[in-house]
Amino acid sequence: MLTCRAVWKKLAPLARASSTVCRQNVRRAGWNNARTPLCVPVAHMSTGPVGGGGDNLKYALLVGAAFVGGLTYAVITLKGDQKRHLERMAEISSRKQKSASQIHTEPPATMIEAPLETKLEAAAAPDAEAAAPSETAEPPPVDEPLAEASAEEAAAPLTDAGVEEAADSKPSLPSHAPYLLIGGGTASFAAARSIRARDPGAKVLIVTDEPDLPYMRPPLSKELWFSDDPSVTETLRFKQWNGKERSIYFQPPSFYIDAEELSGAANGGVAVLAGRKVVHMDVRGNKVKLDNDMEISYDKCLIATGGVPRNLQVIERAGEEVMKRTTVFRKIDDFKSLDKVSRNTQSITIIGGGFLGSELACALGRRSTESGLEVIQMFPEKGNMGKVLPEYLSNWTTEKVKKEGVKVIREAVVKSVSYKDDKLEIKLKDGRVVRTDHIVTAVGLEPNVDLAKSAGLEVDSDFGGYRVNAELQARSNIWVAGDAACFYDIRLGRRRVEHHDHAVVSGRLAGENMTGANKPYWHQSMFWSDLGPDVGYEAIGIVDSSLPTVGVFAKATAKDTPKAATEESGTGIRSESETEDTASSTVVPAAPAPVVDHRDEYGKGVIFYLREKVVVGIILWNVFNRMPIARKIIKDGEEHADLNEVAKLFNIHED
Amino acid sequence: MSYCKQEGKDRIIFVTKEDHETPSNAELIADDPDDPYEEQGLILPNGEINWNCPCLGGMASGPCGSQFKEAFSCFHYSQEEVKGSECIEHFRSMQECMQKYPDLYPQEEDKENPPQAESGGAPAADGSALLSEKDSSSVASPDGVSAADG
Repeated sequence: MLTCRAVWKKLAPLARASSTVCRQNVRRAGWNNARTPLCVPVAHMSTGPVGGGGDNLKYALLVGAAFVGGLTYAVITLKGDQKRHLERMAEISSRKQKSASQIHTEPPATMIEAPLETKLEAAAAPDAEAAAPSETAEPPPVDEPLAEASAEEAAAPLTDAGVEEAADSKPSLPSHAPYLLIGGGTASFAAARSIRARDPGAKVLIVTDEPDLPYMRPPLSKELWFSDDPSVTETLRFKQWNGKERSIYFQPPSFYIDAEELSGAANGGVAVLAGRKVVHMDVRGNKVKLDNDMEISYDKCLIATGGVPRNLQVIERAGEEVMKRTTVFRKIDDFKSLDKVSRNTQSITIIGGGFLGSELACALGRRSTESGLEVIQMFPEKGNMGKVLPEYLSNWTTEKVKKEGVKVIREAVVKSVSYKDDKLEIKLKDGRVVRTDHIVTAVGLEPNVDLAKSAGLEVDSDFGGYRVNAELQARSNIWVAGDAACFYDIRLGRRRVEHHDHAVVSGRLAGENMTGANKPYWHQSMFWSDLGPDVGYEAIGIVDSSLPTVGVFAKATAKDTPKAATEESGTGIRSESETEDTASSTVVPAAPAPVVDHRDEYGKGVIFYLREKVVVGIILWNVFNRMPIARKIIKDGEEHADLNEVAKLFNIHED
Repeated sequence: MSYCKQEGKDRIIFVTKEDHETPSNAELIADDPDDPYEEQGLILPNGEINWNCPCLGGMASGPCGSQFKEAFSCFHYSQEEVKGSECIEHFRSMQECMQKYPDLYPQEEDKENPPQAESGGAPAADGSALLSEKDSSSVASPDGVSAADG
């Protein structure tokens, strides 16, 4: 009781009616300062029941201050809101005028440009004038839609008139595309082809921020490096399996129609709008906005934005001198610049031990035999393809890569990179130091999900990329394919795949579904890699070295090399250069270790990757033309008691 | 003589040719030819032409796609004694179109025969069929490799 009394006394000015119980107790205890008669009603709210003159004043001041403070805050907020609102209205009306005039000023040097512009300006002026008086007459929020509507209506007939006039002399860029493909890579092209095949007369618009037409990526780290043609960086042509040459571009420019002609094309076509980036996507309004503020509406949209190659943070922070000497490899320009660098420097270091890093290392390593170029490859894993191949095979592969002339530094984690004495100095965490002239990073891909925010599309937190269903759909009229798609694979579960064949397969599937097919991802895509003349493999499914594996190997003969395979098969885009011809004559010697143990020579075979006893991935190691069997085994998804029996299906001893 | 070893979670088996001579007893599930999910060849189960077949390359999707489709459809459904004899006009207009795009349709094609299913529109095939170079094309071709041979 006493403590309660003391506390109550202290808190009286603030407690008010909340502590009726305590008050009652106090009264019962007989505490009576004679300031409050016993018959005062309990729900007395104004001043505290035991508040004296001084306390009353304090209390009044406190409440008063709070009230004034609250009022001030409210006024400030309201004023700020109103100011922002007026600013926004002004911005919207100016934007409307700007976009309306822009659509008609896009086509360069049109003769009708001038009359159109003046027409628009004249129309815009009455619009603004019309908007102004109505603004003052009505409260601001209601006015905005009115002003917009009138501006739109005025702009619309103008636009139509403009287009009609324009069509007579020169058409403008389309403001609507029935099929809009964002991104101009492999998946996008495959989708475009699929759409055109299935929807006669389809009008497909590809918008890409790259300057190039759609091209295929694998030759940039493989065939193009083996070409004998000194002008290969210009022609970008390579030799295929059948000896015929082709360009890395899927189709020559004559395949495509101009974007301006797309709307008017009788039989439709595929148009590419290059050098333009889609910066905003309005899913409710079914339209996108480009980086030049142009808007394009669509009926069906494919997002095939691929990804951006990652760089190491230590390099990005290392300053301009280091960045100038670093190639983050992915595009045609990177190939061109690396080719030039390889002819003009003495030492190149590749950071990254996966597919791209290892292929580039082998390609450059081959060059090093002629030019004396030092090629170094470093990565954090224990061996090349350490995340893909089981350890024994990864080690074996690393030895092969070394034979290609590459200095391999394993278990290397880069701590810092600096530019010293005209060289790049790479310091590793374990203290080793590497001095080199140029760095190439091949450390993974960051899927490009820039549009997710404005479009309100889901991004997958495990694999990255846009989350789509088994039919590659993100929304009812939006699909995603290629590197950027995290999709549901009915057999293997949700995944995201960064390979060329997957881009083709998923792009084609997306195109089919955009034209009404409703098929899920079912045909399993594959991938392949060659590391020099001795090591070539094809793979399918989930090939992750952390899974338990069963490898069935036979001894390799001189006939089991990628070179021999390409001459037999018809499925590869491998090509051979003269240097490879001479190299293959010394193929597969006895194991390099002093112990001549033929049993450990992983010449050719099949490796099964298991998840809960079911085969989810297969690598065909120096064994070719058997992919359909591998695909079938994965599709079945059965538990096989003896994988050696399954391996028999591949006839690994035959050619 | 085959032998087997274990390296951690990875099992390695070395086999000789003799070891693999006995037929496999691994069981594969029979394929359903009408499975709607599967990639189809040139001719769909209902008899129609699959214009999206990788074997056609870009023939049905290029600038001369509509002419090609008309010509090939006419040929496919032709019941004449000499198949496709009534389709000459279609093939002629297709050829005229193709001549306008020499770098898309190289002119060494055999002008007498209509494109066969297997050759898959040879002229543009090498330029565009290799879109899906490796495997996706070989699987979808009508004479594709059958999985369960044994």
